[in-house]
Amino acid sequence: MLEFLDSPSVLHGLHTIGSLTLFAVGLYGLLGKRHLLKVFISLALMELAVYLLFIALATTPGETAPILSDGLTAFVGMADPVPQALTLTAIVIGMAVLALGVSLAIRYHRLSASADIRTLADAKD
Amino acid sequence: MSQSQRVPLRKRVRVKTLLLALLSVWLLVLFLTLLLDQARDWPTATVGDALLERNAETASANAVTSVVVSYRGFDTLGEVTVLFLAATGIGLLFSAPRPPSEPAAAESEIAAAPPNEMMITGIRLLFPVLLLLGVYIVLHGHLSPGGGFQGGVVIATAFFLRMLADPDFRLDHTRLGALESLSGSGFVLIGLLGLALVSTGTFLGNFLPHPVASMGQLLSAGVIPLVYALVGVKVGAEVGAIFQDMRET
Repeated sequence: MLEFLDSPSVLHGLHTIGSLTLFAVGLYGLLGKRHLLKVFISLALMELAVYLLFIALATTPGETAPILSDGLTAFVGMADPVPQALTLTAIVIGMAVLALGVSLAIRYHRLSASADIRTLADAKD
Repeated sequence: MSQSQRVPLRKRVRVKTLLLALLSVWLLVLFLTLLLDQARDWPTATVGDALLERNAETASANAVTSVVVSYRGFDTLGEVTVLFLAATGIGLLFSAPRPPSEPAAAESEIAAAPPNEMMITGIRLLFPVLLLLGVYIVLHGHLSPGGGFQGGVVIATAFFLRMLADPDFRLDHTRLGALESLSGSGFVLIGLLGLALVSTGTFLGNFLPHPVASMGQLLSAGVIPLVYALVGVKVGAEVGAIFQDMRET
């Protein structure tokens, strides 16, 4: 009954819709929320959506992970390893950026006792 | 009359939220129309397939690892540099003197609360296992899912749990810095050796013997596990330094 889900075009379309919805949720949080930590979480959510899109689009149904194990002997019928490597890179960079941003927010909160992004725009000195 | 005047004021906030939601939905639809056609017939022949075809030459059973460390090793070097910069920035931010407006005593009181006995015992049990798992993930990066980045973070998490359990436990920053710079320069050195040796002639060229027959064994793929182990040490030291910086303040 659900065989139509196995066709690559349907699956890729579903993955695109899902990850772009996640991206829109993150975008809304980035623009609509004022608390600095919520802004960073939204940013992380948008990053996650892009990773999902990358991995989902590069894999077609029936392909295995690009690793020779569990009896596999040849690199045939495997998922594209390049987006996976890029995502691995991006996750680490995202973690570093998030840590730096959160520590900036903590520092700012300690100086001004507020975590509001609007007062941050007013702070001139 | 006064009520009807108050309503628009309250509404103004909601209108803004509504507009933002509308903007997000509009962008979502825009992206969808742009991407959906592309995604439905995604190209089947990509550069990854070409890399998969010749992946046997690296003798690494994990194709993702050979892409990260060998084919796109220069990217990985840049990424490790970004991580180093972020760790340095965090250290810089937290090493600044505490502003006089907030006395340090209030925070040290919270920190002085002893950790839960359950947590201490549990972490004492978990710490060696986590450390072993991290080392395993790093060393088997060319054989199974995993590698330097994942394993390094697992090792740093083990030390972070130790910090939670024991308030007196701290990672020595000079030692972490030495570890970090040693592994970082080791990475560059291996890359330059690959460039200098005539047999390879490219940055991060695989100059160690890597026979295809040994694929799947721990000692295989030549220089790849070596580089990934260095990356693991570097990532572990950097993330550990970030944890330590955040806890000290």
